[in-house]
Amino acid sequence: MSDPRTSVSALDAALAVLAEAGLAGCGATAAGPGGEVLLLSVPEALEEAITGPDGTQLRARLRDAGFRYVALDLAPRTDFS
Amino acid sequence: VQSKRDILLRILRECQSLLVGYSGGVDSVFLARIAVDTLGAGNVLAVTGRSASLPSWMESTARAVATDFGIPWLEVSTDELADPRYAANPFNRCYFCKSELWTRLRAVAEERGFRTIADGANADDAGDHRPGAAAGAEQGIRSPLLEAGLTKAEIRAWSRELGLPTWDQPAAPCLASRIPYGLSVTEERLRQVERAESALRALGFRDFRVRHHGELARVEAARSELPELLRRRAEVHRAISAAGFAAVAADAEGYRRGALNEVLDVFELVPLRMAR
Repeated sequence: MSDPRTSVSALDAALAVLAEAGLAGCGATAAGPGGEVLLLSVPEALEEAITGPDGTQLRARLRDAGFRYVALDLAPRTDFS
Repeated sequence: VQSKRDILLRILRECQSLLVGYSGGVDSVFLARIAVDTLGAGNVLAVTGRSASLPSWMESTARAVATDFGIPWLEVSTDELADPRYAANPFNRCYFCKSELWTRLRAVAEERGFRTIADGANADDAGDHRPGAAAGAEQGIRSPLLEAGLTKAEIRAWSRELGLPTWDQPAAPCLASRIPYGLSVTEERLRQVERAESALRALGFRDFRVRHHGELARVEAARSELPELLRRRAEVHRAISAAGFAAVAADAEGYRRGALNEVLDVFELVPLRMAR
């Protein structure tokens, strides 16, 4: 897998997947030494959509965008409004 | 299952005397205990290889169980981190670690007159990516649990019957397994992982891994623990940040064994022996 940070399209693709799933309010960055982690900032109300059983397909599509792992940022939440 | 148990006892009796590579995990604790029951304490020695990659709680478990169950126990230092081939963290990193471990243990076995050296590999390990098994095969290390066909579930059940406190202990591979291939293994990174995992354990979490991605700690929690992890995000973030990570994240998929092996598109499975 190429380094997603060398390809803006990976992050763009992930954001498009999120928007399509109705999760446009999520923030997304590439993290890790090779940009292998898609790091999502997610409002609490939307967490289940990503981590729950119904999110299996969504997680797979996010990985297919060019990431090995999809993870939720645990940093204190900022205002998503 | 009874026939597997009989096969294991037969294998152990054939060994006559046994040095067990003893990490403090479910399998090696069980093997050491059964070996003592079968061969007598005078014919068994459990040896723990101590290095920065061994979680300190496992070393404590190894020591405590050996004391409580009359298992002769010895600790030897291993220095795999000094081997640049190991520290570079290639896909076959475990080979270099196990080579170091078995070389040290072989010297102990020869010095003390133990005929056979064994590890705690079991039947469930047979299809996994285990380059360390190649090092064992090269040095003639036996795997009695695997040879008897005993699965992890069967070993847990038998451990419970024997009163071993490890019967329900989560699987606990070495700390280096938390560092993605290609990111070098250093004492500092191993310490960070250990501190982070200890902190999470202190918060009550039990089945998880903290994966080291440089500045980022990615926590893989068992799916049963993931909602709680997210609910207590502030505590978790504080605890793991204190281990020296700039960012902390919860893996959306949750814990799965060998997650860092998912990058191995093609790898050679190391054949492991099993008795018929």
